[in-house]
This record gives sequence, C-alpha cells and structure tokens, in this order.
Amino acid sequence: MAEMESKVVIIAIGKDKPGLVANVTSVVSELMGNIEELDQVVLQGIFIMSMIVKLLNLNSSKKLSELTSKLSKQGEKIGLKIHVYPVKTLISA
Amino acid sequence: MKKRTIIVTTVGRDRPGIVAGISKILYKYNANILKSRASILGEMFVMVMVVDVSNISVSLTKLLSELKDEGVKLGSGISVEDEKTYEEKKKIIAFDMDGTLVNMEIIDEMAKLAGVEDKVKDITRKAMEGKISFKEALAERVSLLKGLPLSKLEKLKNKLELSVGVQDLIGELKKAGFVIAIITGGFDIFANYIAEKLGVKYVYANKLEVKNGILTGRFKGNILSPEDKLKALMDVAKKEKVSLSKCIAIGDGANDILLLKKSGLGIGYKPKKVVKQHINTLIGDEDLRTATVFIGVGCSQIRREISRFVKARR
Repeated sequence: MAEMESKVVIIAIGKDKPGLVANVTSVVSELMGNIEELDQVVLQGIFIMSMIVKLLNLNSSKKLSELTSKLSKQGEKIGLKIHVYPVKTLISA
Repeated sequence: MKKRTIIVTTVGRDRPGIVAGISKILYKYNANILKSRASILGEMFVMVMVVDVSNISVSLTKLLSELKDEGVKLGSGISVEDEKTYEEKKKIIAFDMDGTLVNMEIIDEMAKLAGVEDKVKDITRKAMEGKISFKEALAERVSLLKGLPLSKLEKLKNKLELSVGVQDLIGELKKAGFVIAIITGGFDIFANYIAEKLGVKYVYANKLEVKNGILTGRFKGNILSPEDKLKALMDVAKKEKVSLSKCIAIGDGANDILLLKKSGLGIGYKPKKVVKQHINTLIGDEDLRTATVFIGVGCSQIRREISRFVKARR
C-alpha cells in the first residue's frame, strides 16, 4: 500500500492548443513527480489528458496539496481544468 | 489544409522530466500533440506522440534537430519518423563494428600494441569527426601498424568488449528472423571473430595484408569507403531479395552517414555530432536494447501497440 499512497491520477481537460502537455508536465516534473502512464487525445478540438504520477518526495501529503494548487493555477493560465486524485482514494472507494 | 504529422518515440530509463523535456520543445515551436501515450515497460519508459507540425514556427529540420539533442540530453533514445517508415517491416540489419558493436576503436588498441598509440588516435578522431577522408586516414594508420605480429592480434580478440545490450538485441533480431550483417571500415580478422561469436551472416570489412605472420602495413584489395559500405548493404539486400527500404543500419561515425541515410531505418548509436543531423533515430544512452523498440522486436507488443495507437486516430 505504501507505494500506492504516493501515486496520483491527474486529469486535464479543455480547448486544445499547442503547449498544454508541456505546461502540465513541467509542473509535475518540477515537483519531482514521475509520470508512469500517460494517455492524451484531442477529440473534436477538445484536449483530454490523464496520467498516473508517482510522487518521489517522501512528504507526500504536503506535496499533494502543493501539486494540486500549482496545477490548478497553471490550468487557469492555459485554459484547462485540472484535477488531482490520490490513487488510494479511488481504489478503496 | 491537410495535416502534416510526425511520430516521436522516446525510449529510455525511467526518470522524471522526459515528457516535460520533449513536450516543451514541441510547444516552443508551436507543434501540437494530437495524441500521446506513455508507459513504463520493465525498466524502460516508452512514449509515443503523434504530432501535428503543419503550423510550426521553424523548419522541420530545426525542430527535429532540437528533439534529437533533447533525446541525448535526457539519455534516451528518440526517433522522429513519418508514418511510412513506421509501417514498413524490416528484414535486414547492418551493424557498424567499432564504436557500435564493440565498445572501442579497435585500431587504437592495435596502435597501443605497436607503440604508435598517440599518432593513430589522433588520426582516428579526425576521421570519425569527418575532418579527413576516411580512406586516407585509414591507409595512414595502417601503415603505422607495419610489423605488428598476428599473434598479438589474436590476444586482442579476447579483449574486445561488446557494447551494452548487443547480445540481447542480436538474440531478439534473430528470433524475429532478421538477417544480420557487419559492415565496417574496421578489420576483417576482428569482424569475422565477432560475426562468428554473434552468429552474423554477412561480413564486409577491410582486409589487412599479412606476410609471414606479420602485418605489412598494407591492405589486401581496396579500402572500404563510405560509398562501399552502402554498396555492401545493397549487396546484402540483393542477395536476400529485399529492397533497401527494408534494411536497417546502426552506426556512430562519419563513414556511416551514407548508409544510415539510405537505408529504410538509420539508427545512430551514440552518434558523433556530424552524424546526428543526418538521422531521424538515435540512441543517446549506452544501451543498445533501446533499439528493440524502434525496430519492433523483443518487446514487439510495444511496437504493435504503438502501431495500433498511431493508426487509430483517423
């Protein structure tokens, strides 16, 4: 379980334009998040991306809130709605 | 307007920053990622992107060159292909020897034995960087080796170090039914030895002239030029009854450029600077197993999945 606790699902959605993957993943890598899986498509001009990210830093609860707030700020800037869910909460639901 | 797309495949040891690094460059030049998928397979991180380059702000060459540099920086393998290269099944693979199959420049080791190391190394470096003609440089170096006994070269054979992952890669290629060739500006006695060890079918190499067990400092027959390396591959293709577009070449030096450019898939292995601009696929780290993803062997389910993924868009 310890491993799962440090993993999050990130979902981003919005109008497609160049730079969205770069802008989201740069925040992730800045916070030492390692993208383990990623899937991204553009459907009728709408950008949809989902990924599973492992947070490499130990203090993951603080990290999680930092990641969430930085991503939502970044999302506002580039016109994306970005949500972060700890994998743990999804699996035990 | 018809969209112009490229497929960018990045393969490497898993670590943070690969997706960010590649996508940042695409963004910088207004390339749009239409679709991407990444996952970790074993220890390797594999990412495929279908990228729309119809509206990029620089030339495609410039964009590709920065992507390749980033691949090297990240220590990953990277390939930028159009869909056609992607889909064509390959049958033949030609390896360069020195610096590719073997983790050293053998001629430099021979020079050590002959006590002319510095002189020879200097010429080798200039030749690999393309500063002097390959033929000229080789003839000059071989003349410096005059008097070296064959018995010493026999001992050198046992010291040859294969590059990381060579055996695994060759094993997977064989399983997939590939015909394997060594096409090298290096020397026959080593190329034949390695070919036997690895089970390689064709060998094209320079033949050293030997008299009474001693190198004469001359060649037997003509020296293999870069053009001859290409001719050699064409020869293999003809014998195996396939076209050059079904051939793969892997090499690192200036004398491989022609071969890498003209074959169906040219892979630079830790390519010299002068080589990088001519290729669309390169391995920036030590591990030759990275090539399996680009070729589609071994972890072939990856390639199949990638292929399905690439096609599924339309």
